[in-house]
Amino acid sequence: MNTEAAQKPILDIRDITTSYHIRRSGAQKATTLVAVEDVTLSIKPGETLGLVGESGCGKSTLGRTIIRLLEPSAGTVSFAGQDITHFDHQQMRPLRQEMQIVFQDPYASLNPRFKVQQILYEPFRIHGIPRAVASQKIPELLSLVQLPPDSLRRFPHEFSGGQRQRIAIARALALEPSLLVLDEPVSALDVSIQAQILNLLEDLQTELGLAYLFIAHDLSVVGQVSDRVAVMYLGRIVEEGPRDAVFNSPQHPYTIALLSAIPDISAAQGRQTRERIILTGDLPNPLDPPSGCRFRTRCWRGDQLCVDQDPQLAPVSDSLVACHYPGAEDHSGAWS
Amino acid sequence: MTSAAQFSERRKIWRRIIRNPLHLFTLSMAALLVLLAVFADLLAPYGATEVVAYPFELPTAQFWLGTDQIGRDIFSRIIHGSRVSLYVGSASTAIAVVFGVPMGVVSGYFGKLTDTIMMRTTDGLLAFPPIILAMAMVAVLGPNLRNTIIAIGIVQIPRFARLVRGMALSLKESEFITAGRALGASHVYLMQRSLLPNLTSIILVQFTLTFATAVLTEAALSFLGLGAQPPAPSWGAMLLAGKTLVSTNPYLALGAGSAIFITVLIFTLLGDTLTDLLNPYRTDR
Amino acid sequence: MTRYIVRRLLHGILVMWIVSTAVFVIFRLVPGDPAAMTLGLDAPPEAHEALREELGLNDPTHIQYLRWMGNLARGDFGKSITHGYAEVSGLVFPALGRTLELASLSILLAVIVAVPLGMISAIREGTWMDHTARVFTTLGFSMPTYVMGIGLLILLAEVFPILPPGGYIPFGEDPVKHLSQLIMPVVTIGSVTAARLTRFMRAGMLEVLSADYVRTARAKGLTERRVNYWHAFRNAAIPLITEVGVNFGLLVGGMVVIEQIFTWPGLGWLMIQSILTRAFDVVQIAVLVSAATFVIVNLLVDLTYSWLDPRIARS
Repeated sequence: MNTEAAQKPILDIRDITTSYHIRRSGAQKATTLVAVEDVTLSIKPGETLGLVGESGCGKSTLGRTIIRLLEPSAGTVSFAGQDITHFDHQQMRPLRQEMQIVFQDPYASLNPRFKVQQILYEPFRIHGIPRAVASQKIPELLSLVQLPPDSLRRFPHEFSGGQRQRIAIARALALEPSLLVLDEPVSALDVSIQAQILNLLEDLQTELGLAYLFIAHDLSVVGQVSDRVAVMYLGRIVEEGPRDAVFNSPQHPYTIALLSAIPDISAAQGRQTRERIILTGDLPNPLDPPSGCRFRTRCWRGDQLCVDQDPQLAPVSDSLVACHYPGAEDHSGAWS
Repeated sequence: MTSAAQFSERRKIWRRIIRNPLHLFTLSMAALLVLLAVFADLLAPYGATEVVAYPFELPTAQFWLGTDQIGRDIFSRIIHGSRVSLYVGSASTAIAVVFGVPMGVVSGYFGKLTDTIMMRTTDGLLAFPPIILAMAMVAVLGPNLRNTIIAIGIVQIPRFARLVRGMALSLKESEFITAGRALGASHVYLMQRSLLPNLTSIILVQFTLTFATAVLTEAALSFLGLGAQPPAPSWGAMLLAGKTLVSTNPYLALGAGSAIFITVLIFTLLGDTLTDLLNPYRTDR
Repeated sequence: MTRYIVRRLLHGILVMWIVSTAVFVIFRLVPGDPAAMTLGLDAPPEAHEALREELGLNDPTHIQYLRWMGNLARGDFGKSITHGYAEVSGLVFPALGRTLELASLSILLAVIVAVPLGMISAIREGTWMDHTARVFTTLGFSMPTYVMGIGLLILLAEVFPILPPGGYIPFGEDPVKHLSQLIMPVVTIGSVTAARLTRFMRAGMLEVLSADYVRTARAKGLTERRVNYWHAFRNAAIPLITEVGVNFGLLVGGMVVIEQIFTWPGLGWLMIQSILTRAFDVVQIAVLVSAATFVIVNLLVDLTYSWLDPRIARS
């Protein structure tokens, strides 16, 4: 692969903020829910960026903002060097071929009234690609995601969850995109099926040179597929860096807590055991986030500084971390 | 893939029909009624406006229900009347579908101001008792069959719009719609190709029920002298004539009344049958 | 709660505004010239023009609309030129009263029949009693009121002439005659409505009977009888109020045909007579009033409902 091209990001987002206006019953004024705040990220061609966080932290909103299903209220989205933040439907159309999305629930993301044939024909139809071309490509797509050719005549409900996810992936690949947003693509599937789909995604990436934004709440899944990992908490990125850096020496207490929840293989092998950190309390109400550091209500390191000042992302060893007291967890419990 | 999964949707519906005698009965009766209307000219012994005997004959082997006040064969006129009823029923329901369905889809899909305006308008139209609104329109446009069709159709538009809007509202948040948007589909495409196919069953069921109501309303309007005008063989108009002639030949009123009753019954049952047959979530034993 | 009532009232007013606008639109589509229709075709052009001026037909449409809305807001329904300049309200409201009398008695009959029938049908689900009740409801659903009305008329006024074939004598003049005239229309509408309400009551009861708290009540050792009749009835009856309200509103309009059959001079009868004489100034008010009745009944029902089940107002 051309190294120079590989260094130029395919996707570059700067200071993205996405908010929803919600009207609560009884309330007269609409409230603004800031789901994503000041997020800056980039993905290079052929790279996988894993995005983790608890459900409701804004990661799906970020994914949808990136492919412009939602319009950000601030910041810029650039795709292949082009600022697409304020593109309208017509301007977005050619770009839709370049970036696609796969959803969490393959039961909901396929039109139940369409046969697989029709589902896979849709991308071509929408982009005015002749039927002859499409009918040549559709069987190829099917073999790409390893489904039998006779699947075309069936309806989605005749397939298992994993097979449906393959159909959804095939649809996303139909227009040969260079970026795929995978929004929790395996969390609705059984563990054995998860591995199959993850393997398929990796094969496809090698074969087609795709860039992935892999969204998940499960760090172990993200660890399997990502080159780099970003950790999100309450609409913000709290830590971002190369996978090995984030997994081996997590700096932000939130990342440390998430990682400690993964069943540890080294523990089974009798090596040094990791202490399991259980986060107390719930995710704060995103309509009314805490002052200063957003994580402080659940953090064991927090002090007055965390209440007063909002930490910004700053380089710590190989990663970027937004914490006043970053650092690997010390078993002496110095921070507690 | 298991063999059970290979059962196509169509075969599953066939199996459901064959297993349930009531479905089978309802469907054949409905088919029979349609055939009767289509081939009325061949099936009826006499013409609709043909004077065949003296007035007020009682039933004989030749004239099964006797003759009416002019000397026309009542039985033949009732058969011809099925044509008027089914024509008004389908034409007015078609008007309701053609306008109501797009209104409902657009309203549910876009939501916000579009939805508010449309829903408040339908609130207003639904505040009229249906037959009153139809009567007012027929009175203004002039009493004849064409205007009856228009009036009945318009009255049913908000009912279709409401139903479809509710479904569209819940479907538009589905991920397959979002997936379509991500593919770059336009709003029109999404409404037409993604939403609409998922609404066909419910529209079909509502079509049947509206059809029954339309038949009923046409007969009522004709009975009131506001629908089909003489000598058209409308069941409602025959009922009106029969009412005034009850003492001389009750078979005119009874025949026309039963015809209306049976037709409405068949189409109401058909609605139930279709609901059952087209329910995609039902699993067969 | 107060907020809910206010919101509901405002909605009612909005609907009435849309309704009166719709009536205005419909009746401005009249192809004939109301002035020419009243005076006849050979009236002198000057008289014709004077009447047009008097009726305000020469004004621009928006002026006519504002005048129409203004008059309605003041409760002025105008005078009918075709009825010798009689007050339209003097024609419409007595007719509405007679329609309401018929509708209330019919609903009363329907409830008296439907509540026990629906309950028995649900409690004895699947037995012959349930099947009989369901046949009754299915037939009632498809039985047009006018077919049944004519059937009754043939049977009870012609074949066995025990009841008057229709007409109207005020209660004050001859109470017995008045009531005997009411029997056939009330039985007709009442039984057809009863079919709908029975179906509703049965479904409501079945739902409640399978709900948890009834099972809890059973577990607490209440007898079968008390479980059925008390817990289930109370919870199935509240939604029934809505259903009764909807039917009542529909009846006010749907009674046109019945009033015609039994020559009962209610609102529907007045409407038909006015349409046939092209007295559109009466028809439009009759249409408006029947819609208003529907809206008001629904409003009352919603408020009653929210009073009985306060969860509604809060949602």
